[in-house]
Amino acid sequence: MLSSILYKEWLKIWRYLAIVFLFNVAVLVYLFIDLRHLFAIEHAEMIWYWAFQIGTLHYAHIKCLLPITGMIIGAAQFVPEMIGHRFRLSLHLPVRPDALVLWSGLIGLLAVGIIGVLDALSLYAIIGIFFPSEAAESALLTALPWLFAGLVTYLGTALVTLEPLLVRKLVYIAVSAGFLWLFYQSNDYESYNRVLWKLALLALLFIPSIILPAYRYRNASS
Amino acid sequence: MENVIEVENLTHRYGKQIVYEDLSFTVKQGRIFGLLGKNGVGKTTLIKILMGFLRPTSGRCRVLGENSYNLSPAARAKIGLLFEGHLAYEFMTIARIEKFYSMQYPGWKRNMYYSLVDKLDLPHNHKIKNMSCGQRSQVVLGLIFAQQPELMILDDYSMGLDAGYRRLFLDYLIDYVKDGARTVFVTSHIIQDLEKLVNDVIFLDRGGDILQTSLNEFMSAFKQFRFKNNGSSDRVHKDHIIKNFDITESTVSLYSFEPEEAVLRHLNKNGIEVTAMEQVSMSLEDAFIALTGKY
Repeated sequence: MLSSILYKEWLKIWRYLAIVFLFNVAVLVYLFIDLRHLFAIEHAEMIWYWAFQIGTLHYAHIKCLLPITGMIIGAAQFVPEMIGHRFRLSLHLPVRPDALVLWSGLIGLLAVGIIGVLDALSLYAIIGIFFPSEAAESALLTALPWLFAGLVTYLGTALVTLEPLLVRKLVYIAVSAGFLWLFYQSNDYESYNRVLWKLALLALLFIPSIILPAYRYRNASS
Repeated sequence: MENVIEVENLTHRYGKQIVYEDLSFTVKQGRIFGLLGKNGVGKTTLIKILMGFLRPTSGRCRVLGENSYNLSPAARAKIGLLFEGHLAYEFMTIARIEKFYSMQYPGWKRNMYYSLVDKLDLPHNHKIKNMSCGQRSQVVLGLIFAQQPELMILDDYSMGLDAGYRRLFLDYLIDYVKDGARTVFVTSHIIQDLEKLVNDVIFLDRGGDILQTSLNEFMSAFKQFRFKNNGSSDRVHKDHIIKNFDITESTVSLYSFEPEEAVLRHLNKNGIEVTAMEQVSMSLEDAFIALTGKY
């Protein structure tokens, strides 16, 4: 069962996954070039002053990178199911509907998560090239909320796409946007260190929530 | 299992609008059932209830012995569904859609799928979204055959198909069910096609009134009588004997389940002058229109 769901989800997302992967690589390459350019035209002590005295983020390029990725992967997975009510085909498969939706969601989440991990490792490596390792670790902790925002965006996109009723779609958009807003409340270094795990736990609630619109879809297909 | 589908006292409403009230019928194993009715009588709603995509307001609807709204994965594996418009995953190719479905059904017959689909003479990497409705219908039918379902529910299989594809679809379907072990529940707008296919018919009327009968019984019992219009035809009206009538300038056509003598007696009793009344043969489509009306 799982292999067939994985196969279907892969067929839907692989092209988009390749595109968003290249997009992520392009943004990270740009970050590298930007930093190299900065170090070429500015004195090192000036950059140090900006980064560690004023608190300028030199890697803000990646703030919205994973949310964009999450939105594209979520749409690639669930929009084709909704066009022409094709989701009914999936709901007739000999699989429990909740398991079907959960596995589909987890597969998408895994795809976004892998890109998020690659982003995080790349960020660590790029910052580590130009700054001391403490700064690279700090960049990772500072960027973690943005990476979690990517996962939340994916789940929010799934929730909104699967929901059949417009009013509820708008409510889910508002809830997802509100939740995302929490991840972007500070531009300071490591400002989410003490609260991030709580936000991450709260974000886990999004995972089972995507089952509800699937059941509602079945009822609303009339 | 004797009854593959059991519908008991089914009532369904959309808001205040009643679609059916106390609808009851059964579909026996090994039979081919045609669900006939005019637009808006609730055929699609009934199919949705049977498929588990709609919970009825009240009543009982069981498919393969299970509540249709909560069909287990094992029961769904035994049901082949053809959705209106030959719905399929358009992002897949001919080969990929077969591979995907083969993973879902243990008794999958790959050859059955390709024997039908290869008639299209398309490469196996051809995408479903680039197919015509007729080509897609072959893919969908091939998938259903390869699934080897005990019960097929075919919702308006003829939609968008030209005569050639309809004939091909029917030929394969008739061949597939000839062993008598499989049950088919089918709706179509092309009534004349069903005449060659179905054993039993259910005529669904507004409000959920139904007539369930075998096709042979219906075609022999429901008759058309024609006589010359001599001016007294304005006294003809629908009642327990005359189910429907058509009046032109020259002829009167009556439709009835009663024998010719009973109809004649009834007409005479109502003061209708009848000369040279004859029974006229009808196709299923003629009989369907006669029973349910043109409008």
